[in-house]
Amino acid sequence: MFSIETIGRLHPLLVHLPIGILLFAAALMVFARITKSDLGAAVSFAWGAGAFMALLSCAVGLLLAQSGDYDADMVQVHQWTGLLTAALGTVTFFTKKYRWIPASATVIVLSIAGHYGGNLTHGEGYLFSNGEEAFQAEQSSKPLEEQTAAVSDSTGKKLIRRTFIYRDQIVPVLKAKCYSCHSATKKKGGLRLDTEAFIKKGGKNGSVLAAGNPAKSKLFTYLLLPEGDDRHMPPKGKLQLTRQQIAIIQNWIQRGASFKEEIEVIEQSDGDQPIAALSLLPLPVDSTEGVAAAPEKPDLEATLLSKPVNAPDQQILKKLKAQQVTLTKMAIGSEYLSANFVNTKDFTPEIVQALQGIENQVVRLRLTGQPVGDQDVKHLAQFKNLTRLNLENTKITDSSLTLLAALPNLEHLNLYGTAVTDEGLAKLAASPNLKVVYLWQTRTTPEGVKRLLKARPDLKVETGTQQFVKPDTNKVLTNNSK
Amino acid sequence: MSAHHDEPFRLNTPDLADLNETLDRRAFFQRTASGLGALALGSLLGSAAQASPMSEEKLESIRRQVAPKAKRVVYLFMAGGPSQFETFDYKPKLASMLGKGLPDSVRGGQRLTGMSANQANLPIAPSLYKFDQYGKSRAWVSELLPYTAQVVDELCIVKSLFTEQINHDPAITFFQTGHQLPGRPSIGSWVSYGLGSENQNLPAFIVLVSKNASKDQPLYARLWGNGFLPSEHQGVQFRSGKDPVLFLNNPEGYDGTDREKMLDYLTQLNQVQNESWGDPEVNARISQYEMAFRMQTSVPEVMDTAGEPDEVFELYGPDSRDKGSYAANCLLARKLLEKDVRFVQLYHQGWDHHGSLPKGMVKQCKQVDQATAGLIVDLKRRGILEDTLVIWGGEFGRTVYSQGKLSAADYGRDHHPRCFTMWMAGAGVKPGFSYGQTDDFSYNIVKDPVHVHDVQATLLHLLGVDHEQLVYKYQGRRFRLTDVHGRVVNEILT
Repeated sequence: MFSIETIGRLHPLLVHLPIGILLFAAALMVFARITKSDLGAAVSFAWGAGAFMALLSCAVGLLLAQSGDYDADMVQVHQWTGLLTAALGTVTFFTKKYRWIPASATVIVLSIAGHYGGNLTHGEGYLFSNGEEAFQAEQSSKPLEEQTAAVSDSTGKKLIRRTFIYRDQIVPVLKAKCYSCHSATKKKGGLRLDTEAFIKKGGKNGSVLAAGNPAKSKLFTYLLLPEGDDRHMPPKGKLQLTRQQIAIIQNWIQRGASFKEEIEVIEQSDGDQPIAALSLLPLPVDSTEGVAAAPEKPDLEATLLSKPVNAPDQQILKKLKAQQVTLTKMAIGSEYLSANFVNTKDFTPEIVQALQGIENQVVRLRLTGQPVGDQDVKHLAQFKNLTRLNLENTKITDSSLTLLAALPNLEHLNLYGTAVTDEGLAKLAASPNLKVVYLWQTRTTPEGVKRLLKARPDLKVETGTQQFVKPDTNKVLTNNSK
Repeated sequence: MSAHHDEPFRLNTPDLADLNETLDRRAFFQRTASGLGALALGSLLGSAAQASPMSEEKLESIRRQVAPKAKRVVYLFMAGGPSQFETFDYKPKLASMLGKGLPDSVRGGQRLTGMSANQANLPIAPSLYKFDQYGKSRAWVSELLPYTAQVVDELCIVKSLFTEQINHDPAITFFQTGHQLPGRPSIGSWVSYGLGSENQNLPAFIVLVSKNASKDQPLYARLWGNGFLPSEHQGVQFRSGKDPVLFLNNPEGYDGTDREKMLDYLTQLNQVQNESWGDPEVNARISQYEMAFRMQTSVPEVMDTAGEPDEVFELYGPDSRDKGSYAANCLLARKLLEKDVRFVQLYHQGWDHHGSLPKGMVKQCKQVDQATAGLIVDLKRRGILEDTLVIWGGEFGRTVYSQGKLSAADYGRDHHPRCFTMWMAGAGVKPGFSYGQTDDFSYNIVKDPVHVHDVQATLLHLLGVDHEQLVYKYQGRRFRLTDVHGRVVNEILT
């Protein structure tokens, strides 16, 4: 917890004491001279205190320099000017005659030392820059940025587009938000982010960039840590990256973290719009569906769902939703739908007509209890992908069954509580893929069901006739527990 | 293991995207600085990431790639721990061992509850009731369940369940929430959160508690609580009295004509609140008010069983005319399922037979047997059973030895977590099927053990949800119903 390095970090705080006291001592001398007052004792005390604090700051500062987080050359200058300040302050304290000479020297050296110290902490050029300019107008010096290869711009109708994501998008972000601690002047954690080689090399704790894998790149992941986390970058209190800047870095790493210019040849056709910078295109959604589901027995519906289908017309979906029709996707990423009328209060034939626009997408349809008649069922003729149809407690009759029997993929048909009779039932024998029919509370007879089952032994017919045999429960009580 | 745990940082997580949308840094600090203060800080940090209800994209990420087998669940919870010996787990060899001590080799030094640990001996108590084989599946069922025996071909009986909890409250909490300590969401809440409801006028998660059960062990509302999920996902209890849902009816002297207008204004006010604070609980409150308003008409409608023909009451048994009884609740459950309510949870207490078990079991079985079987038949003939999962079972089993004095006609059984029986029926499970096997003493599992988390994983699987993907981030951790466990029991699935 409390290491030598911690003491070293007190330097930027401590250093303001000698600066203040020494400047105050000089000011006191000037004041004494102008007002002709005798402040000799006070001036001496001020110089003594200032010199002592300067020595202390130097000692602590030397410890900080050990950390190696700072640019050695700049530390050198700061270190020696700092020591010189302390020395000159001490000299001033002991000098009685011509004290103004060492005093002036102290103030001058102090200013130089202070300036270099400021550069170390806030980055070079901090004093004379204005933030926005530093962010944009950097097209100059760094070696990497000179890789702009000369390529002839257009050949015939082909358009050559050059993208240099690193130079145009990454460097400005790093410069604005990272360089102050991770570049030539300061390399916190042994990490520099100002050239390709340094970025690839990483810091004291290893690599920060895994090309193609943002989740494994600290350069990206540390940005996402909660701000309270010690590893969060930039550290608490510093200017944070914007969401877009984070996205730019993620996208760059995802696309392979190239440090080179990329050249693409695009066939130009009329009306082509200039293509937006690649980094601003939507990110690929990373797949978390790595878990292999247990293989299910391929039934008809599953096979059907695996076939591609167009996305349903959004206008129609909107219209249906307004009529309280619940539309649910059949499975993840599927365009197939199940439509449920359980919420529909005021059924009108128009709602069923509206369904016609999505006849290829609807796989299951639940019209339970709605006043659906044979007229409405006619609109279902084109629903080739319908596998389950709930028409229980509706007003349909035998005449609908011809049409329903022709639905090629129908597997489950619920007709309980309708006026269907044996006559209609017979038509269902022709339904190619029918598996289950519900016939409880219809006008069908056991004979009619028997005939259907004879024609279609593979069918499961639920007539709802199961009756309980009344057990003699008294027997249990008397026999066993008297 | 899913990739989920390997990638601690993902910009593409719905969590983060949502957080970014609802609350950027600047807005967050502005809000906290301007007086919301430390009080609300916790809840903002904890749950702002989850707006409710789940967006369509988020829903997509938890669902499996195949169409779900089950659309609804009805969970018949037999609270107290029904004995497997007098119901489904037939142990003929015990008949000749009446009163003999339980061999140490069987017990294997396993801990007992404080209630029977100090007993001088552990005398074996065979079932007083006879068993027989029923249906095409020839499953063994006790004579105490004559109606269940008639629908046995619809059941998938799992005899090798085990749990980690030996006492009621932790064991029920474990079954309902996946963790023995209170505070996590109930299964129904998870399902409501993950899948929502196809019926907009009724809650996705409805709870019915039998009034005719002996309340030997208490039930707490937190068993159907939403835990850390947004509040609209908590189970809504429907009661049997004049007010099925408390405080839903208009108060006396108020005709309710301007209710809708009033709620509209209230919603507007809450929206303002929501925009400035971003607390998801405000959204929950808005949707709860809206739901309550719709329920003012939908609940009386669905609770009204007067229109049911006599034949239906006969099917569920005579109790079904007595509102609030288990049988009446089963009938009500059918009506709710018909309306596409996602998750209906029934509780029937009174199965904790430490003493006088034979008498107690007769009473309990009589209360649930016909209604349960009736529910199966009723769901089947209406075509709902094919996409509804029915679950029947308690929180643990009971011991082979008698707790307290054993006589020829009377004995008791202590809690036994190491094996017990439950059954499922309907959507996606094999009908007329029996899974798992216990030893001759129904003390240890010898084949195909099924853990509580496995049941939960299987339940979610049938609903088309990957239990490893249904996660909710709370207090810095991602939570699942199945914690870090759970295996889908594929062997019992069609």
